[in-house]
Amino acid sequence: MSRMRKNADHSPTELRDLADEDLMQLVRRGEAQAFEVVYERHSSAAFSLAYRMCGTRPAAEDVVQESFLSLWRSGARYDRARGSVRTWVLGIVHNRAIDSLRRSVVHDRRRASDEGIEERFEARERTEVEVARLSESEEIRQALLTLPAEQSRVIELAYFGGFTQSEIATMIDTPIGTVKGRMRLGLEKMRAQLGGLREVMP
Amino acid sequence: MSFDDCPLIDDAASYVLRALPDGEWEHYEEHATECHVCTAKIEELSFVSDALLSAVPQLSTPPEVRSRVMSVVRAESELLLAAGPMADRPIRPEPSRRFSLLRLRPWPATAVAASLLVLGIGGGALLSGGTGSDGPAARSIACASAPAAASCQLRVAGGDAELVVAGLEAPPEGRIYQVWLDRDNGTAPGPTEALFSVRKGRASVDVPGDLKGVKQVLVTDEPVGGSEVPTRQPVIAASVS
Repeated sequence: MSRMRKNADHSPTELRDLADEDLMQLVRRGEAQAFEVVYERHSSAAFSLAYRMCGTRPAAEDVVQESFLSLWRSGARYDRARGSVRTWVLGIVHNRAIDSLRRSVVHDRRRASDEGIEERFEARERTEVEVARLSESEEIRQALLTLPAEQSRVIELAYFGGFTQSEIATMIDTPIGTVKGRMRLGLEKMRAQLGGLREVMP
Repeated sequence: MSFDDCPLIDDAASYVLRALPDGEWEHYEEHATECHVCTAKIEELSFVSDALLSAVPQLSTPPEVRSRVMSVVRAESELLLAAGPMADRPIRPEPSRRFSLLRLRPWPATAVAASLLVLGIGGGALLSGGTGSDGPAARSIACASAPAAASCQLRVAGGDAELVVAGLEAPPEGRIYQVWLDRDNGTAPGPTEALFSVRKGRASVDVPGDLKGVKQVLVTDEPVGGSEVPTRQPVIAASVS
């Protein structure tokens, strides 16, 4: 552990040198600057995921805002034994986005780019970690693309569309058992393909 | 035993993808705690579902989201740190209710006036006068209206003011208290950057801006990040003059 000091103010530079897990200890104490560094590191991934799922900028902004305020207020619940801070953050965003989609009365699950926001990255210079993450992200996307279309489709509808398995079965006019089987087979194939992948630590 | 020995094994994929409807999801989770076959499958497939979280085109986060989030975080942090190491961390359950932002409706000045009349505002009571020799004369003004269980004072010294409250309930989920300045010019109350929550019912908030020409300091609860115009009736009103 860590370069983290106890009961002392940390400069922004010092905070940026800390690992996520150390920052979370400061967040538990209510240190806003530490939280801001966590936000800096993971907000783009959070917004990207929220936008991919919600499909509109206002909805994605709401989800991101709710998610980060939730993790600020529940920072003590983070357990490093259960995964990285990044996965924890994105898991909260994913759950929030699904809740949002399922509450939608219209339930018109649209797709991204309907507002003209195309894929774009922040203009700032990317760090080594960010470059590695982008490469990793591309590898995961490729693994999804190499699945048979019927498998990748049910996975995408469920995970990014927020549809339940029964909704998907109705949507594609397929027995629910087949839908479940396709999800499982698809994930198992991806697991095999991504076996060597290791999470990039911040 | 093979991985296929449990008849619910296919639900593991639906579980990690959150494709099980509410109710069934919890039911399967309960089952998995006692089924090592499903537990192992969930662990195996979670690797993929976790990876998928970041397998989306990357976008920039709009800067205004950061501003909104950090304004709340800083306000709550200030209260938390002021409360000291024995303070409870503001742990809250994942709220299930979604709040919308920036869907604000104007709150006309006439409505402010009417609501305050109903609350019986006739001007704040002067509690104490000047403090004596050092600095500008300071005075504490009892808020003209506040929730029944709350006490509230506006402490004014020169052009500076501080709102001190106790016994105030936390704002509703997804909302935050915002301070407004109601000037004597017939316009709607103007927003300030002072956003705050309460810690054990207490808060001490510097009222920003020049109090010259301000007749009342108001507090409403607003969507997180604050509003440009009030969207709710005031919960606190303190007369400055």
